Amino acid sequence: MNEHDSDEAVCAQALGGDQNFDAGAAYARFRSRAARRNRRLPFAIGGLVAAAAIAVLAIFVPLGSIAHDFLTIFQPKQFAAVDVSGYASGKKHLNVFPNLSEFGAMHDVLEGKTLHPASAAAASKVVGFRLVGPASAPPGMSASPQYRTMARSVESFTFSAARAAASSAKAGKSLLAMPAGLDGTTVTAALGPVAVTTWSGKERRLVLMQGIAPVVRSSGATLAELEGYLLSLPSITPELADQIRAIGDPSTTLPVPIMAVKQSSHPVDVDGAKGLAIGDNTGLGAGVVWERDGKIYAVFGSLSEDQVMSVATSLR
Amino acid sequence: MTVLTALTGSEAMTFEEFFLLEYNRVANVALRILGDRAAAEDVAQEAFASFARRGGAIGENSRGWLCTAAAHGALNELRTRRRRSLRERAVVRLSDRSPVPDPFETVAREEARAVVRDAMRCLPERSSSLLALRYAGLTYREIAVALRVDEAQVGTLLARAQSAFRTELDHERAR
Repeated sequence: MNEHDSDEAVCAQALGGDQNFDAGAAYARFRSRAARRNRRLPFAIGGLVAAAAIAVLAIFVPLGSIAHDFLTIFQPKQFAAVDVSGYASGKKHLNVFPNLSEFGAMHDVLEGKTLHPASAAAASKVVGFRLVGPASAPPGMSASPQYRTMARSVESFTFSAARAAASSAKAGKSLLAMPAGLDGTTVTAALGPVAVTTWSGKERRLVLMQGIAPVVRSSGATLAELEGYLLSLPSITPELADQIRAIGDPSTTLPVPIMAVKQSSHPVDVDGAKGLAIGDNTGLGAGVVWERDGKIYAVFGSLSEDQVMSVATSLR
Repeated sequence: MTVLTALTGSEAMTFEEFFLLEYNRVANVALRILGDRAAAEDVAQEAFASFARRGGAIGENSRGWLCTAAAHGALNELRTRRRRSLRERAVVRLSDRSPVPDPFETVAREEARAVVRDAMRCLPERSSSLLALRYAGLTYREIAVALRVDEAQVGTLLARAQSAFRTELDHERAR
């Protein structure tokens, strides 16, 4: 190297050329550290499990008032993972949530108020059922969890073929015509009340969600008609539609969106109840959701799946 | 599986596959700044941990994000270190040893790395990061996204960084 060499040549000599690292050993170390060290809750896990019920209901089953002539069309008793990875890939900028205002009108019937009770007893009083919890605080976490409650919320949505046609014309695209049986149908759903208990430790968090299972009712259209129409909307990819159609009993199965590129899921048994476990592929977090006696429970946090299951099965 | 297939969504890539594919590159970004394998591996580990804490979704800009995180992590590490003595620099790291270690060669190599490291440390942070990313093989476009600059500017910024690095390198060698 001499003074006549270009700056680029000098840099290439000093900085060029990679050394080899043992990526396999590094990954083993990464997993080991992740399992050993306390980590902040990966919100992707928490968000997906906790918001699954609300999010999926927002897509497929808008909420509403409960009238006597309404038929119950959906009440989750089991869970099935659906992969929504396609919505996050670099080439697709689709939104899984259709714009409901394009084909009907939504109304808040009852807005769920959020409170922060000071104790489990106070939270139980607010939600109207006795909160369950583990016998002791999860390892490494504060013995004084925080409580949050959301009162029962009810919303309704009325389908309008005229509005759907107008939206379709405005956007210059042709949507599947709304079936006659759907036009004018009002779908309602009631969600909650729900209680959320959060334990915190150093860079670690565990959340327990428990609430009355959502109930969805329809004034006319069947679930099959609703599903057929909603799954035909452009915001739903064919892959997602196929997964939802493949669900055996759609009237009792809540689809839980997961990102299969970074999460895995499998059915689990929680003290006899059918549940779904979701794990972060990095090993940094896990969650489980299940239904028992008309209530939905979810436990998720920056713990291993074994630890999360241990908490789930210890709730009394 | 390639990053391309993962990025186009035609085939899903797991976090583990992504880690194994990109670890060497990320560790080398840190190594260029730190000149120290063990410290570079620590920085790479932390970069992947940060990536995982952000959700670990693998996308078009993930590689650039990771390499930038490694560059910043390495620069932070440099700042927190005190200048080491010649003796400390010559400490032989087991992982760097050739099959038949020659102590004189080892010391010379450590010295050369220390000079490069000190030159990198004297540069503005953006210039150090730019050089580390470029010599780790990132494209101008990836660098532009990672450092949030216009892609058309990358060539000019790189030339300036190379010139500044050479000046600092000459300065360090003359010490």
